[in-house]
Amino acid sequence: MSNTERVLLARASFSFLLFIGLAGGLIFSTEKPIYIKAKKIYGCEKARILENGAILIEGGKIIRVDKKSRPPENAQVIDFTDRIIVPGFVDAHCALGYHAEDLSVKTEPPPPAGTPIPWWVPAPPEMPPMPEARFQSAQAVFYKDFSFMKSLAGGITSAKIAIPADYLVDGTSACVKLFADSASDLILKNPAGEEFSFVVKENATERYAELKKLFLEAQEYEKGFKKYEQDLKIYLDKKKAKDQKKEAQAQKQEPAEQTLEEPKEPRKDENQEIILQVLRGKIPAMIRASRINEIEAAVKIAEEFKLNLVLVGGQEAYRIAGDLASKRIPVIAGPDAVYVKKGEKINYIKALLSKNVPVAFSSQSNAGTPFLLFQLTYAVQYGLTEEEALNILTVNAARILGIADKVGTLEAGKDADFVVLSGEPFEFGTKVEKVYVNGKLAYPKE
Amino acid sequence: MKIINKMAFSFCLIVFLGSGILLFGQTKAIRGAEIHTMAGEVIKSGIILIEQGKIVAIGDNVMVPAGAEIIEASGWILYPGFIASSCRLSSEEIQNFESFSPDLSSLDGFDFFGDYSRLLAGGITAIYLDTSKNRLISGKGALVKLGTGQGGPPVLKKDAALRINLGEGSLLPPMTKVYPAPISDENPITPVQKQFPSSSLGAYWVVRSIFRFEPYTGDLAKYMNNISSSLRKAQEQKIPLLIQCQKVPEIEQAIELSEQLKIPLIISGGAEAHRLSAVLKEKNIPVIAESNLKPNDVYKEKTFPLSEGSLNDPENISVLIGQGILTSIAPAEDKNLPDLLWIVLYHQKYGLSAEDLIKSITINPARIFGVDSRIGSLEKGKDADILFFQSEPGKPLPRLRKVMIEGRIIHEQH
Repeated sequence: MSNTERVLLARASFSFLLFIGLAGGLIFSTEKPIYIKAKKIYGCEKARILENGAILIEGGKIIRVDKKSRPPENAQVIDFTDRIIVPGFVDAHCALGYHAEDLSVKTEPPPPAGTPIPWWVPAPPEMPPMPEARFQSAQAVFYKDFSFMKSLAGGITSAKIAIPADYLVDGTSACVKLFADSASDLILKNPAGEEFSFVVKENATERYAELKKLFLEAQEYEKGFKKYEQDLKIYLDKKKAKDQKKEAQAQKQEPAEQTLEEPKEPRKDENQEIILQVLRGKIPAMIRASRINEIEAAVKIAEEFKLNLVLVGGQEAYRIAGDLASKRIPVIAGPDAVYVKKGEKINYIKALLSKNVPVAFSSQSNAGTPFLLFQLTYAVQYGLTEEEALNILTVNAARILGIADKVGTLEAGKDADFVVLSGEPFEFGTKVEKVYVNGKLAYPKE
Repeated sequence: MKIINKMAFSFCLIVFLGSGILLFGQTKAIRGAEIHTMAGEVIKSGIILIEQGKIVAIGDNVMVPAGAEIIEASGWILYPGFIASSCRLSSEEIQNFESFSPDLSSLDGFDFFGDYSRLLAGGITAIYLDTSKNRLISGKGALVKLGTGQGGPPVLKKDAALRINLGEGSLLPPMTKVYPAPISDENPITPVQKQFPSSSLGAYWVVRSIFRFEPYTGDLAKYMNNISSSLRKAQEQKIPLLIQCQKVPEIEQAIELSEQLKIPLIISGGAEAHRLSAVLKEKNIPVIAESNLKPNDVYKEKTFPLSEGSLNDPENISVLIGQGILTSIAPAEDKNLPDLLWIVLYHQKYGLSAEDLIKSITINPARIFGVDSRIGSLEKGKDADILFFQSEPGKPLPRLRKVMIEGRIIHEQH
């Protein structure tokens, strides 16, 4: 065999292998497109409600949602012509995935110091450590947690999960899908926000002062680094000058000057780094506040430090709705759909929406809830329109959390997360029949 | 002058009384409404004739007598007043070392002059006053009507049932939040007394032996002989036993107990009653099912409330109703009472009709407590406790606008 022949053979075999590889890859990588027909599709782009439409899904993404197109030849056609499809719901604040089934019941606080404790009283268990700013909910979450299945049964496909605590700083939260093949597929956005809580039994001024102290410390920390950088620059300049001088001195044989001291680098602090990102507005500050004084404290501190504020809870936020609207502060409402104050029912969500405050809804549950739709039905009874209620559960929540490019509506290019309902969403007797996440059937389990 | 004064006064009195008699005696006719009687078919456009707080005629073909006050109600939807078959408005939950208090009557603790407008706004016109759930035998409950009508005192039935708690509630030891004072001569150590009995089998044994009326000797003699005598009365009067039992063995114990003593039984709680539905149906045992649904409340529990297949799954209740067992639905917590209709209608999800579900808060509890001759449905001879609903477009439920109790509008809302 000549040299050229050998080269040709090698090339031929290489191209043959390449062809097989590519073809095999094509065969294995492309799943069959799914074509879903439905009586009504909510949350589409142009016409918000599409009747007798169809969704084409390929590779977990929506290719198109329309009325006219016919299914591709190789597509798997699923017929829901007597069902209604809505986008997967977004639970804007909850604490799922922390092995809630294993958590013990909260214990009584220890007695005041100095109280003699008799020998038969068991020692109180140690309190869990206080969460720090650097604690990430995404690191601790178990991607096949039991509570995910429970929320999926209620039509929730994505959620913002936070550490279940009520301290001043509750760590960073993350947006996740509730159904995934692996832990890394679960995360939609991390960090989604830095969680703070102003919900206290006493006056919120204490929390305000503490948080201000925290922010000032972080600014101090930043200053320390800036000073170090300046000092380092001066030091390097001086050193350079000194080195040049040294050479000159060596030539002239003069006595050496005093030695220069190198500035010490301050220690990096993860907590401060996260807080600094919050102060720069890169991570939104999610402050839990429900009473008016707590909300006002939160708004005040956001203005003072120019935070990117999102209110969580906000039951009494309707009282300063105009103020919130002018400052473009969104509210993640919940867990009550209608705020009951002294026996009077106040639809605070409606009051916020009427002033154009962006509102999302959250269950704030630790163990998952299938009742999000039921709770919003209650709000519809007391004044919310059905369209508003659906937006709150889907597109509004996605926008506030910053995941609207992936979820929230049924548009081309977005993730194929949707819920198949047996009837109109806010009607008694409507059942969540099927839930799809990334084009795959997530509920019920096959 | 004095005589004239007196005459004027008596004249005024006569006029006042006369007008009162006229007012009370007047016949009222509600015309043109859609009537859900809860006893037979829905009347599409019917007439209800009310005299002295009672329904004297109902149907689509009723003659309205001349001079009757006519209430035009076309477009309205009428239902009988709802009955809350469990509420703790009068039960004291003070922690006590005593496990038995059979002589306690919940009627004594009820505030007849209280403001119950929140309950009326939820359509509740009658309530069953429960006794405590934290004792083995906690006392007798009573059925009362809210908003006193002119037809006598609001008590529908005194001593409607005797409550026995066979569940975990009766086994809770008394709570001690305050730590004992330092040990000294004046304060010798007195360990916390455990509630008696302390196991579920023990509870059952105690209840059974109390009802057998055996003479007791030993430590418990003083304790039990007292209780026996007061319970004997309950047995003679055939006051039904309202037994709190959630799990299958507890329900079986309750059934056995009622059969031995030949006292009618009402199951309260009954989380797993659906598993015994065949037995309950055969023996005609009613259930007051506890629902943990909260239409507008926080789901923050660390345990798993209402998960599928758990004790509190709402589907369990719908199985009971679907099997044709006399079931009444009651919220587990009093604060959810105003949303009773919401809690009940949620079960439509499991394929039940709204009509069947509303029966579980009207005629079913009335039958369970034996007051179906007075309330529970809109029929001739029954009290005119009527709810006026008006449907609104775009709303999942029609809105309750007026509440009529014994012929008088007691509550109105816009």
